[in-house]
Formats: sequence, C-alpha cells, structure tokens
Amino acid sequence: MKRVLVANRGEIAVRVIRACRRLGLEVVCAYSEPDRETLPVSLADRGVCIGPAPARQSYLNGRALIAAALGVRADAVHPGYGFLAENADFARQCVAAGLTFVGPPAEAIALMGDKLAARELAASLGVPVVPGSCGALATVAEAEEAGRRYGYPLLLKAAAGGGGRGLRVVRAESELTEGFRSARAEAEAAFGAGTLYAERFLERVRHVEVQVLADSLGRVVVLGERDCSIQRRHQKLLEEAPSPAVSPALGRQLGEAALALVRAIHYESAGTVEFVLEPGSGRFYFIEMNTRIQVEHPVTEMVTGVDLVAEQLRIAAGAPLDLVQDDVRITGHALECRINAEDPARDFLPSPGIIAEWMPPTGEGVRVDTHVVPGAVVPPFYDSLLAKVITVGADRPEAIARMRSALDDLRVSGVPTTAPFHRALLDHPDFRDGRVHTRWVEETWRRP
Amino acid sequence: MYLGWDEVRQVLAAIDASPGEELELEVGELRVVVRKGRHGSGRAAPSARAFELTSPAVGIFRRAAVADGLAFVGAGALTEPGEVLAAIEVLSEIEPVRAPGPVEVVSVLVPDGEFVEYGQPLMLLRPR
Repeated sequence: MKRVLVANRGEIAVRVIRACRRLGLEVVCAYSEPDRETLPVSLADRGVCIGPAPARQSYLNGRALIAAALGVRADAVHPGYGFLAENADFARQCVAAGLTFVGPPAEAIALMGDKLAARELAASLGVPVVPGSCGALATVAEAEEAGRRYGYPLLLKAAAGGGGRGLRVVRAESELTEGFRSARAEAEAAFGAGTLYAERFLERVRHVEVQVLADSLGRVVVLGERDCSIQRRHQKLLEEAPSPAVSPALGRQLGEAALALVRAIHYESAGTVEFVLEPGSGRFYFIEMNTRIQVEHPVTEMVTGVDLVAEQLRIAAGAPLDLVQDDVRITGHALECRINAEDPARDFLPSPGIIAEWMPPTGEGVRVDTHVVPGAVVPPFYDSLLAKVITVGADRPEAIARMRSALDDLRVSGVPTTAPFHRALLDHPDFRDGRVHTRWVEETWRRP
Repeated sequence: MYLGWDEVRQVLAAIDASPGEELELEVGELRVVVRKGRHGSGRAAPSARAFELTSPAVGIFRRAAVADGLAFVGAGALTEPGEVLAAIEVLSEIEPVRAPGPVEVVSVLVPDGEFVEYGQPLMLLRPR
C-alpha cells in the first residue's frame, strides 16, 4: 500500500491525511466541486474532483470514487465515516477493482448493516439484546402482537437503519398504526428497504459503546468504552471516555460482549459495538455495531495512546496489530465536543455560511480535529460539523475544566455554533454529576 | 439550488449557442437576466467567445471509441447540438460528451486515454 484515496471530506478527511502521512503513505483527496478550496484538498498530495455538489453525484458516487482511485493509481480507498463507509457494495466494488478498502470485509459490513440480523446474531452468542421481536414485522397486526408481548413504549426500528432514521417511539397501541406507517415510509425513503422490527423502548438509558481493533490474522483488542449519552434526536453532541457510568467490572463485561460479536463475524479493522446501559441496574443491551471509524474516535485515542486511523491503515495493508490486550491501558479521561454550524438557540437549526473568524483553542491537553480555516465556506449540502474539540485530563474534573477553558478560547464568527450549548452543558450539575441519559438534551436543555 | 462554475459555464455556453438575445431566469428569490453582449461593433473578437467544454465525469478521456460508434472529432470540426464530441470511460462504461449547441471545435485540450477529473476542461469550443 503506497497511495491512499480519501473518499470523504471535512475533518475526517484531514484526520485520514494526517494518519497516512504518519505512515509515509501518499494521499489523494477526492472532492466535490464546492469543496475545491478546502483544507483537506490543500493538505493532500493531490486532489481529484469527482463530481458536483450533491453527495449522490460525488461522495456517494462509488463508481466515480473508484474511477478516481484507479485514475490516480491509488491502491487503497479510505471511506472515512458516513457517505459510503458502511456500504457493503462499495467495499466489494473496491476489492473487485483491485483496490484495498480500508475497513472491514464487505460481508461483515453487510451483516452488521442488517440491524435485525446483527441483533439475532448477538442474541445467539449470549450477548444481551433489548427485549423485542425475533424477526421482521410484516404487518401492523404483528406490531400490535409485539406491543402486547413487550409492552409500551415500543420502539419501531428499520432493519437497514442507522443515523436515527426509520425509528419511531410508540407510546400506546392507538399510535401503532401511524407509527408503523411512518417508520416504514421513512426507512424505505432513507434505505430503500422498509423492513421493521420492534424493541421495548428503554427510557433513562445511557449510550455506551466499545471500541475494537481486529487484524486480518484474527487478533482482536478492546480499547475500552465511550459514553455518548449527550445526544439530540440520535445525533451525538458530546462524548467521553471512559464512561462515568461504567465500573471496571462492567467495562470488562461490555468488552467481553463486544469481543464475542467481533470474533463471530471474523471482523477486521476498527469497529464499534454499541450498547444501551441502564445505569441503576448496570444491565446493558446490544443495539448495533458500526463497521467504520467513528466521529468520536479521538476520545479513545486520548486515553489509550493508540492512533486508530493509522491502525486501520496498517490492518488494511495486512500488518498484524502491534499491541495485545495487556498493552491497553486507559489513562485519564477525555471529552469531545462537536462544534457544529447549528444554532442551539433555534432548535439546532443547521446554519451554513462563511466562517469569518476562526481561532481554535490550544494548550495542554487540548486537541482540535477540524477542516476549518478563516474564510472557509460551510456549504449547505453536507453535515454541519466544523470541529471536534477534545480535551484530556488526569481525571474527569480536569478534562471538564480544560474543555470549559478551551471553549472559552474558541473564537468563531460568521455562523452560529453549538459552542454555547457545550459551555452551558459543562456547567450543568446533571452533566458534572454524571446524571444524564440519551433523552436528557431533549427533556432538559434550554437555550443558553 | 446550487450552480457550480461548471453549471454556469454550461448555461452560458447554451445561451451563447442559442439564437435568442435575452434570457430571464427566476428561481425562488434569485432572478438572473442575461443579454447577449452587443456593446458596439467589433468589440468581441471571435476568440473571446470561445469557451471550455468540461468533463461531465471522472474517468478516462476517449476522443474516439469505435466500438461505441463515436466519431473522432478534431479541431475545426463543426457540430450540431447534442452531437457526441468525445467520451469519458468510467469503469469501462462510456459516458458521452455532447456539444452544448452548434459549435466549432477550436482545440482538444486532453490527449486520448488520459485520466480526467470532473469539471476538467476537455475542449475549446466556439459557437457558430
């Protein structure tokens, strides 16, 4: 592996470019027309324009990306996250074209992409899953049966789901017909497949996920957990590692559950096994596995010292993992705040525009992953993530204090951002005391 | 709605190549009026009106693909709207590059078989 095509944009493209450089790999950045003047394109050894603004014709256009990779004589494609990162067909097509897909085998992506199949596999391995339907729900009547069996509130989920789409919380049987119809319509529109299943909807839970790395020789390491309970409409806003709600013993149980799943599917590359956790009982349930690098991967990097993106590249190149489980030490505590071009005072309305002023924070224990420079354009076509501010401290209070100070130092103007939300969140006693859950933002958050 | 440089170039080329003198376009709050330049005689030299035809896809530039019945179009060729001037091979599928209007090919900017990016200038054309 000598030359990598980055099939993505924004901060993750910058992140992949840095990892490639660290490994001495040449890097070509694919970009859409409006992204021509962006940081990743200027940092890469070369840029290739793959299409016009709409993602369907550029970052979601697998044929264009593969043609670009072949045209620049790249031998590998890194998909980043989002776009085609979890598209099994794209992974397969890369391999068929003689390219290395920097991610897991297509079969693992396909299996975990079918959320219902993944759930059934987890259950068969003894990994706890949320009580719910064993198979697909074909009709409203079957959903009603699930409701009677598992009780309300019931969560209807798309088997092809992800990103919070095709999900409906149904609080009573009277809402089921409408919920079933709308979830199926949304799933069909978003994923081209309307298959639904049902789970008991758990309230007041935390979102906890386990980071794994697996190489092509079958060696797997677990790199601890992250807590991503601060989210809004299933979009994560702040993540931390380790989870304040997970004891070392519980962390080991979560790791063993993740390990069982990863081993069963002969997984390779970086991956994340997601769970919901009932903080009171310590009971946890598998929800899904993400077969890609995740936005929030830096918090794990900061407490383990492992460069996850570099490891992805090394694994893709066929190298064995250069660490074993006993080498993994979780040191200190890390937080990540997602600075999005969204207005927290206007219900997090996405706010594209031009960044007038931009000065990211620096200092001890502060890391900023970003593609933003002064004058950068936030186009309306893609996600609104501007930067991830990451802090690490000896313990959680120190990481929080550093984050609070870093967010005060952040200078950004031209577009509203989520920074005021994060400042208020960090000062909130519920967050400081670790008393948050996945619906906390919706239920508790008031404009700053 | 978003117009990249490529779209703007294509719109301008289509206007240039059309017999009409004026185009008025209204999309939402955006209103664009284009009137063909007639600012005094002889101001616009013919070469000033030449424009670039850009690649509609990322792939391999093919000036001629006999198997697909494409003709070889070279400098000086006069073409009709929609006529195939060249092609882009994207993973062994052929995407035709068509004339945006009745044009003359001034020059071909890319050698046959070369890798081109989306939006890369392929040919210099002049309306006729």
